[in-house]
Amino acid sequence: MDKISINLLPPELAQIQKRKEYISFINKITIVCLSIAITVTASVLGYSLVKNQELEKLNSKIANIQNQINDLKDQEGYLFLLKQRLSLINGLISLPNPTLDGANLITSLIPAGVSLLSINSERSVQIGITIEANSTNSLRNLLNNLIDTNTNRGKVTKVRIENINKLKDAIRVDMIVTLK
Amino acid sequence: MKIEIPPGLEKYKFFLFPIIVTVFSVLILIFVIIPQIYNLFNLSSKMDETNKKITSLTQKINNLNQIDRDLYKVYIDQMLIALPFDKDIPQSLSQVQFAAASTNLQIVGLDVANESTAINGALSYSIQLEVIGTLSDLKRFFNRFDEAPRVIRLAGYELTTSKDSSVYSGSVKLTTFFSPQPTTLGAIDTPVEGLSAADITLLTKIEQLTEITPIISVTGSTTPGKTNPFE
Repeated sequence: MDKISINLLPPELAQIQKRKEYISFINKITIVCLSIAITVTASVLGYSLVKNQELEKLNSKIANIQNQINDLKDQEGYLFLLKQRLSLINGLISLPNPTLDGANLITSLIPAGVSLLSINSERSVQIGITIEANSTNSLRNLLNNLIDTNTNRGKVTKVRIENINKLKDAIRVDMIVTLK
Repeated sequence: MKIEIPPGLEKYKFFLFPIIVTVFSVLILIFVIIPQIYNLFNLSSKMDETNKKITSLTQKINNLNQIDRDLYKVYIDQMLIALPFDKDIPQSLSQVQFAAASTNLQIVGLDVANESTAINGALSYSIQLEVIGTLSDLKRFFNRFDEAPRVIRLAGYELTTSKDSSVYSGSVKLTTFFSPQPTTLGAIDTPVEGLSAADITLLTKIEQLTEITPIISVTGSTTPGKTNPFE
């Protein structure tokens, strides 16, 4: 047989009971939130404190290492000076030297029958030369050597003839050779 | 003491506690938690940096401990022959003279410039020579400075000859380098690297060149400048 349940309490009391339960629930939530806030704050502060202490330890370790490095100051000075000199020397000897390259190149391109009467260059890619060729063939050979990329190793960009003089038994030419 | 709640607010009195707690929590969040979290990030990055610095400094100590002071003094002496602290004109002239003698070139005059010019981080001065020699001698002389321990470079030339002669005469300009002592010799926090393979090669080359070339210096020894540059 089914049981019959009858609520004999007045409806106002049921409403009050419901409201109390609601307030109690809100209060519980509030307390939980407050606990969380306090826990998080305490944890963050605690963790921050621990990290600060760790950082202090690391800093004191650095200070200790720096003291050790101070004791090795002489070695550091030697190494620094040596590296600095090596770097400077390396930079200087690696600089291109068109004056030297030009002298080596031009003198190697003078064919038989051509005399190099003068050569000059001043820290420049331009080299002035005066030659005397005993025949037009010799002069042609020289010019070929100067302008042919196989013989000039691709280093000559321009050959400017300044002056040609036909002498009694030779041809004198003043020219400016421009290197790359 | 009992706080009197105004009659209109009586029904809200149960929400007072949650509201105060919420405000308190928000204030804690804004003024404590967020700044502390931000601070933690900063601390974390600082610790990373500090750890890196410790590693770098420890490495530096290891590198410095490997340095043989006596050997490095010898290396520095050799480097100071190649690139002295000051002009050291007698030393450079001795090397020019040695180069000329070994290539049969005759030096009939010379002029050393007073001015110094900065080139590639170093200072330089010019030596102008009046020379007499064959083209072959001159070429060997020009290239001889590749084998000189001092850094000297050919800067210019003006040479002439007559048609029937093989002897050239004229001027040759050389640039000689030096570099004053640096004002600081490293800093504690600056990491140091040992000598690289390229450094060792260059050192060996200069060492060999120093051995085959007689060196005359203003100090009368092979080492111009102070014996100990750190004093």
